[in-house]
Amino acid sequence: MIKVSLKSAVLSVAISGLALTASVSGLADSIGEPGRDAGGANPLKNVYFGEQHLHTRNSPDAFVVGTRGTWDDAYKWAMGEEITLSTTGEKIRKSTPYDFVGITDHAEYFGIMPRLGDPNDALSNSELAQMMKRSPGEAVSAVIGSLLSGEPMQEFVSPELITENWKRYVDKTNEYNQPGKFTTFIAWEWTSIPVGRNMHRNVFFRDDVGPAAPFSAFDSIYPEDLWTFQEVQRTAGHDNLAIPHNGNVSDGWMFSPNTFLGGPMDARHAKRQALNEPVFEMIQTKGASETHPYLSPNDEFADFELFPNMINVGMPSQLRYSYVREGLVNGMILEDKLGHNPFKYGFVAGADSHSAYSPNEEFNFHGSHAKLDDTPAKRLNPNKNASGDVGAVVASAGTTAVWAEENTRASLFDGIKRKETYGTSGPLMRLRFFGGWKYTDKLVKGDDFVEKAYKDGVPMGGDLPPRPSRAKAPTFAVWALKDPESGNLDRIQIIKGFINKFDRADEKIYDVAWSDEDKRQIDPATGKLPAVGNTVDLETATYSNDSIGANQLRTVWTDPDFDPGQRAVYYVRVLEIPTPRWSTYDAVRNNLPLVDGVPATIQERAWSSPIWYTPDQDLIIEAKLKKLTGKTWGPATVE
Amino acid sequence: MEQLKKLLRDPLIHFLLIGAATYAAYGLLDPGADAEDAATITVSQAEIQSITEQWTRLWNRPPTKEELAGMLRKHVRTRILYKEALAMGLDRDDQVIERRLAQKVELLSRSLVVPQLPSDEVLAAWYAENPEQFRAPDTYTLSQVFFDPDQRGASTREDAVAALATLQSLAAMPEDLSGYGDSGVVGNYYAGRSELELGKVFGGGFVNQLVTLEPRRWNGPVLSGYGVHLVYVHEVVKPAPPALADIREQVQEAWMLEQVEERSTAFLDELVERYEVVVEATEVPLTVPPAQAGE
Repeated sequence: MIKVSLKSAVLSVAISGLALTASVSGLADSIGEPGRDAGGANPLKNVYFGEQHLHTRNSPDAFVVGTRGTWDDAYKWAMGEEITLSTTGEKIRKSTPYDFVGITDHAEYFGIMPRLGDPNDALSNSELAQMMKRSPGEAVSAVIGSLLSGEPMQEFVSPELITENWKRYVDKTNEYNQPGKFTTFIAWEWTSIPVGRNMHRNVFFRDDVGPAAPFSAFDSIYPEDLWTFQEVQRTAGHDNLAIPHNGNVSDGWMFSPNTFLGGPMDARHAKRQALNEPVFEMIQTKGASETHPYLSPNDEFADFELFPNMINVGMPSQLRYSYVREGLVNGMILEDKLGHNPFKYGFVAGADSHSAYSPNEEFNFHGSHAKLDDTPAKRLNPNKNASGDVGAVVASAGTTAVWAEENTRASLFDGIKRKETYGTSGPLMRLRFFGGWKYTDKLVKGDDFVEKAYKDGVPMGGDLPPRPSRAKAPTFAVWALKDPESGNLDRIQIIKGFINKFDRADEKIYDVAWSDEDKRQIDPATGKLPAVGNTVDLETATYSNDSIGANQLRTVWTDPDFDPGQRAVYYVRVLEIPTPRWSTYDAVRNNLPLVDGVPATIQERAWSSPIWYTPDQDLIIEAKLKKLTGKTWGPATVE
Repeated sequence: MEQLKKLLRDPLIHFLLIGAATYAAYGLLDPGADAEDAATITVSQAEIQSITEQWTRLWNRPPTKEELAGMLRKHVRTRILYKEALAMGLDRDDQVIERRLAQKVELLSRSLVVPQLPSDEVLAAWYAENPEQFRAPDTYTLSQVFFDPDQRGASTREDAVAALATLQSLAAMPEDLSGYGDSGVVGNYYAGRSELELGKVFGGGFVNQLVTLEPRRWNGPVLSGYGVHLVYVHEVVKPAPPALADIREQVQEAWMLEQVEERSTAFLDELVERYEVVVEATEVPLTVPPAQAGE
């Protein structure tokens, strides 16, 4: 059915245009994205790239570090228009525009700061505005101090002020939303940061209205209260979701089995978390939260864009319960106990830039924290900052990719909610991942790959369908196409998380498809694939796609270690060949030395949302009985 | 008489007149203000009403008596403190107040030069001269054949060059291009796409080369991040600017904005002309245009 309608759509274009039959019998689009070219809503879904985490001058911290970039600037940048970087006057422009943006200014003092300095504004008479003039340092401390302590300055949290500022934002956001072309979301960041532990969530709305005012950490620092707000809004017809981020600097709170209020998590808590927070932010400028080399000693790619010290605290964040790979499995352990998996997260990524633009392009990085890092000399400063790191540990922005029928708020929101998403470290590579029980090798070679994959299984973010009795192991189809503006692809990995026989989180990494197959194979002794090589010239900050890597990788993989009685979670990681890190581009272009403590080259990557396997209840009971008694018991069903 | 006419044409005089008129208007609207002596505060019926309305907008109900009394007390206190501040000269040497007053004058100057609505002829002539900002972006209709380095390795470029010769020798566009290149990465045919849309498929590097291609013949090799392409541009459509009647409001708005900008700048320039500006720091040259100096 689908194929027929697509062909007729292309046909009508050809007839009305130039009587070109080539379009009908020729090659349509990439194999992983059929039907995109036909325009309109695509039942096989198109990929849309965008931003879900960005600050402008309307965030108090962005303002005090010097950002004057506006909502207009942030939207225009995403759409590919030239903007002026507010702190330097530099003209900047994105190389490949985005399809969607959610600006997420902090809900705390949302939109207040720019008004203080505007002599036309009533707020310029406030105590704080006077203090900003008299002694800016003191004013900044007052603002940041009240954010960290959660005690608001009363003059800026009156309901009328909050709703007024919020309305300005909603109006602006609706003005830029162009269904079918460019989507803006009504969104903000809830900024709970008790004792320096990052518990932040971005809140996204599906509709054009949203709430009358954002829920802030001044209202509550507990995620449970944010969920209540979300649930009330949903009941009122405003569907929404929250996206937690920076587990890496949560000091072991993000994926803890204990609640923030104290005590172990209960079933209700786990259920509400899963309901209100479908996706997690895998990477942003303050580092990746996938895993850490100490947690994943067998993962030679775990050491990627780490940001180990808590922000401005100068102490490492606790590793355990801070990274999502381990969290996925601990979620399954909790599910065994509670009946609900609180950490059933899909993946997105973002900037968290406080400079009113999204620096996802490694070669087009102009800093992400306003006056703190807006020049190459500041960014490459070899001295350590308040967090105990060199400033250059800041990563370029990540990017969110969503599979959706069309580029509208509703369609993209629904894609995020069903976790048909992936995050990248910035490049716009295309990635499909499906799980089922009867995919065969030739699936990913045929033109009908996507259609069949949907029919016989589930896309990224889904649960494997119930296991047919004859199926020995799940099969996974994966396809990746490089970003034409970035490096070739090195390999596709499938990362499996499972509960091992000691009831602990365990993981295994499989290389399932790779480039340069004639020169590389998995070493049977180590089980590892040799590195792809490195073409980066550090003198010129250039690399070559000619000799290593591939445009496109695809395969169907069957889990060789499958245990039907064991819960498992699978996600894809795609790696690019090494390319220069932003700090290397900066150094070469400005004739500055490379900074110690950050790598000169990186392997950019994408992480798909996982696919979960849950054994049926009988098998779980059987496995438990076996463990308790040492005996194998028959099926626990009564027939 | 000539003198007077000249005076009446002088924007500065207009400005002063308007200022006086504004002052008078305030006096008329708020009779209490003039009548007030230094030690009297009069709260007019209009002010009470305005305070009540503000409250009602916010809370969706009128204030109670206590609430209204509270707000009025606050209002009166503000007025008294304001008077005291003026008496103490606190308005002098205050940057915030200085900037605020300057901005008020600037705004007033803009409202002063609000132009008449343009006639149809004026607007049509202006639109004919400035069509670019209203035009939709150019669109390309193109066929392309892709040569994939993943499959062809070192011979990718050669293969493309060979195929280019073959394609150029054909009398007509082949019915099916799939025999000429490699599949699975990008499509063969894209109809009516803007550079932005094509950039999302092929990358910016490819799109930047489109303008250099000769239409209606096979070009190449054209490089993208994926590999080598041969490209046939069927058509580049430069959409005509929309008919003025369809976007009249938008054009009129742009015209008005330009008028206000121009006149307001000219006026402020003239105002600056009336002053002798002495800059005491000699190393700072005052080369900025006077109209921007106030910002």
